[in-house]
Amino acid sequence: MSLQISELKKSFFQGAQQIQILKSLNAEIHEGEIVAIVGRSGSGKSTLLSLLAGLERPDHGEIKINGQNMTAMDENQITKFRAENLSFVFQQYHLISHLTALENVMMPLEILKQKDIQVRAEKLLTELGLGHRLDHFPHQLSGGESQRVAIARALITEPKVLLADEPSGNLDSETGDSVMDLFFDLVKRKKMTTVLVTHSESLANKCQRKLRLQNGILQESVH
Amino acid sequence: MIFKLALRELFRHRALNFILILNLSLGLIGFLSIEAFKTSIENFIQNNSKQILSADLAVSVRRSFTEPENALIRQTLDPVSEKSILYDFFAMGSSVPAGVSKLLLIKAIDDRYPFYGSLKLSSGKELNQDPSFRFPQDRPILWAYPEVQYYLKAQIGDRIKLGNVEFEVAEYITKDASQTFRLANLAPRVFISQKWLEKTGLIQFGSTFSVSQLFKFKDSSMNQKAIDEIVVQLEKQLPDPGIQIESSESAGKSSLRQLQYLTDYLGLSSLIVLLLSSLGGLYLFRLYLSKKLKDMAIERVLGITTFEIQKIYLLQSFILSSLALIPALLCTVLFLPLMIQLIQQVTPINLKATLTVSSVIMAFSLSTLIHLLMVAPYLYELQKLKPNQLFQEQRLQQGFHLQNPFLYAPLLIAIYGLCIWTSHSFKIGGIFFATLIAVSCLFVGLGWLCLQALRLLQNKGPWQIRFSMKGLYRKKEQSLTLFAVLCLSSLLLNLLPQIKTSLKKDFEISQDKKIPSLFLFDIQDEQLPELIKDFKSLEMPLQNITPMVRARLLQVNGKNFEKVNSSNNYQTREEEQDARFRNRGLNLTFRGELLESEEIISGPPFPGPYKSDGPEKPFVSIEKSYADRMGFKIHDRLIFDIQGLEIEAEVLNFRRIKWNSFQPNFLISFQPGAIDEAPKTYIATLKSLDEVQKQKVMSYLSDKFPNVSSLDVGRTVDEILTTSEKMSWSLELMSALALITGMLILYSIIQNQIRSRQWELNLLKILGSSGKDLNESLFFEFITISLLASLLGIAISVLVSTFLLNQLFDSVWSFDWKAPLITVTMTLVMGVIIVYLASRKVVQEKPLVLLRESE
Repeated sequence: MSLQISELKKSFFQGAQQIQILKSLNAEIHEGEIVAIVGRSGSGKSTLLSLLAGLERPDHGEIKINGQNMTAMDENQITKFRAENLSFVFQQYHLISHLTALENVMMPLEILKQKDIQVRAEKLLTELGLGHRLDHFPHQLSGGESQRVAIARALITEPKVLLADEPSGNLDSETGDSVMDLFFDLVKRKKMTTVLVTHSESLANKCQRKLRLQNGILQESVH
Repeated sequence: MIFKLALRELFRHRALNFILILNLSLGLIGFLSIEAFKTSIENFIQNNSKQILSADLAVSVRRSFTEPENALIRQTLDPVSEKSILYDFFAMGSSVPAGVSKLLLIKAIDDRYPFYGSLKLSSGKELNQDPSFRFPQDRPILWAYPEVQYYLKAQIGDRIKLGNVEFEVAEYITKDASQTFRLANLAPRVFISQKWLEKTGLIQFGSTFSVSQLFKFKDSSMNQKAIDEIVVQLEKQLPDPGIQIESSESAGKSSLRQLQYLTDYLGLSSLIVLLLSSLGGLYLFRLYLSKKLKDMAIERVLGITTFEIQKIYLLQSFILSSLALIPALLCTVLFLPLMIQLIQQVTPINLKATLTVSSVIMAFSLSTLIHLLMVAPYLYELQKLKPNQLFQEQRLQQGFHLQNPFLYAPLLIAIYGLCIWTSHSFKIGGIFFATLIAVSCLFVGLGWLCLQALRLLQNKGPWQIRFSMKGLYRKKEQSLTLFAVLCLSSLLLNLLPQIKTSLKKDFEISQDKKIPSLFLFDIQDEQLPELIKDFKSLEMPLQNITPMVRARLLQVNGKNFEKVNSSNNYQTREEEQDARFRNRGLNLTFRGELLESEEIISGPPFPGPYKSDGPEKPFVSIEKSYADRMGFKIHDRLIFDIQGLEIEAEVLNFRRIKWNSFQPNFLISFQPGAIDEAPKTYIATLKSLDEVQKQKVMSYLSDKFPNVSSLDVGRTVDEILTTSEKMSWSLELMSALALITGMLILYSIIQNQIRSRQWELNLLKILGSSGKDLNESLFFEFITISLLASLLGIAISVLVSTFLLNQLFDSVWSFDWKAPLITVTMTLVMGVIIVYLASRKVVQEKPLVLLRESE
């Protein structure tokens, strides 16, 4: 599923002052492509991610996923579209504390009212090396394990587009590397279009393309 | 620095702390109101005790004083005081033109009455200490309470026949300074001159009357200590427990005894509200501490000691408790007049709402003490906080949990002490404390069981329900706090209506079937055969004809039975009640069979009539609670003085009496054959009479047997119920305060839970759930727990009310559906509103917060 961004603009008010955080963004990400977006803190990476997820409306421009213009959809349509086509991996994992690892992974499928939920979740968690931690609660898991559960939760619905926000930002480099290796392996195998926001140049270099967000402009960056 | 840090942090978490302050305030409102109410009663007693007694000191007895007794009293009191004599007794009065009869409380006064206080009359005159206006002694006139006008249809100038004399109604009394609070006034008061008393022929041998010698000290500045010394001296000289010696102070106190009992119970209810609010406060403070754990770890790294951190939070607790006093005071100022107004409906006394500085300090100290004792265990556990936990983010995120529940021992001891102090009773306070702990444990236990049951639903139904169920049973601490608080509020709100309805229904049923219509007393031995014959011919047979013999207890197991010094300042209600039971004359009966309302609970029944020629002593049967109070055991030997004759008897059994049957029951019953020949009067009842028949009986008695009095039982019961109903309003008001506190705690918990779950809800939105899904999930979670808690609270109220009715009132439980319906409806409506208000903002916001965290 391809992703097209054209003439995307977004500004915020800070007091009375308007700040143009995204000036005029244009990009095309092809189906199955893994793209990194890098940039300094406050450059607007997360704003871009929230626009791609339909969590915010741009001031101007379009975001098309597989030809469907997200910016033209109403809130309900976006919610449904997001649930069926998009997934997230967060830096802070954001696992629900009173659900086990297995239940956290099952949650998106439950919302989508799908079948064979438990079998699918167990299989994916086992694939991520967490077969022995299915019934553990988030506070019983290490950082690496928590992020692997979060990745499993993002992948379980087999989304067309995966949005990842600093997925290894909370992990040490060794754990981060091993988690991200698993991550890349899975998204490649499942041919998911992936947008990964990161500070880490080394992580960005593992992606197929690297886009740099600087001064509100998105530019192709060479590895 | 510590003060500055404490204030700054409080201000930064102002939303949470505002709710906390509000919570603590609610707890204080009830307590402050009760303290103010107590003060107003104490002030009333202090300012009006002489007016209530009409004298500085009174010596009274329910018979005539003997000459030696009179001599002793004269010897002690005549040199220092003036004396007035007052006779009190019940008698039937019959209006002459209207021909209507009614039981009246006759007060026969002399021309010195009253030494203090006054009687205000309908003509505008006032009988007080002014010598120019005295009660006319020369002609048969009476002054009556206004109810007499209604009951006897007697206007001023009409006549009322009392015994053999027709008295003219000269005045109606508009205000009587000696009148105080009574649960039921058996009969309206009528004042007559003592000079005409003998001519009425109403006081005969065995008649129930009381004669009081009222004294006014010549030295008006005599202090209470000196008066108490005189009381003690007189009590030593007059050992008969039937002789009451009362100073104005003790008379004032005992006159408002029933109101003081009410304030004791109100105090206990307010204690529950205080504890509920402190529980809510504790939950919020723990939440606050959990949020601050990371900051605390940082502060430790920066060099602040654990002790200093503890001091900061202790200071914050103190500041919060102090701030809670402000809204509490404001609300009390509004709440108190309402309570006084409710009490004013049932009492003629004019109470003034008084909120003293000492009441405020007392309420504040208690609230602060309880709150500090609640948070202290958590602050103590802060010692375990190590700076290295900064490197274990997840441990900090888990929040704050108390590891050692024994740290709550000081709090429990303080609550126990408070229960005793509030109820003025080791027994009631102890039972209340034990019940509170047992009920709390029961609620937590039942809550835990409910959560386990909800666990069964975790894989059933749509995901919203499953998600809610998991949230409920896995966040046990939050769910159980909510559960226990709502259960307790619901229990309080339902307990009183359940008891009230049951008692009312029981009385109604009894009134139809068992309770006698009229109670006749003071029937002389020689009048009995004619009465039986006359009532038989009127087709209204006399029932439960029971002899009554006046007696005095002299010895118990060879030891003299001495009365308790009545000037003692009793520390507890038990001491006060024991003294009252001990310092009273005894009425005995003798009968071989038990009434329907009696039951032997230990010991055998009487073996048959007593044979005076045998070696055995006669047996007595004693009412159980009286025996407990007096410390009597089975086989104890008691010696009675019956009209000058000493009779020894052995305690054979204990009986339980259902007092609300209104049968002629006695605390002590002799074996038949032992005291049958003693001088006695009779009590009897008449059943199933309508109003016309009752009036016929009263007129007949008034004409033919004026010394025999009849009490309209139905009307008395109605009066008790009406007064109780009005009094219970104040308790219901306190229960409502408990419910409001419960609702505020519900709001605090739900709001904070939703706020702490903000990212969780946003995550669910990102995962595809709609606002409607989230609302359904939240409503299901919190409404389920609220509904379960209120239903269980109602169920427990039914159990507790059944137990109390059975144990205390011997009454049968009847279901009151209104209170449970109101509780459930209110819980549902309030629950929906609270969840909506608490979740609205979070549910409607865009889930951007998840991404902004990493920006």
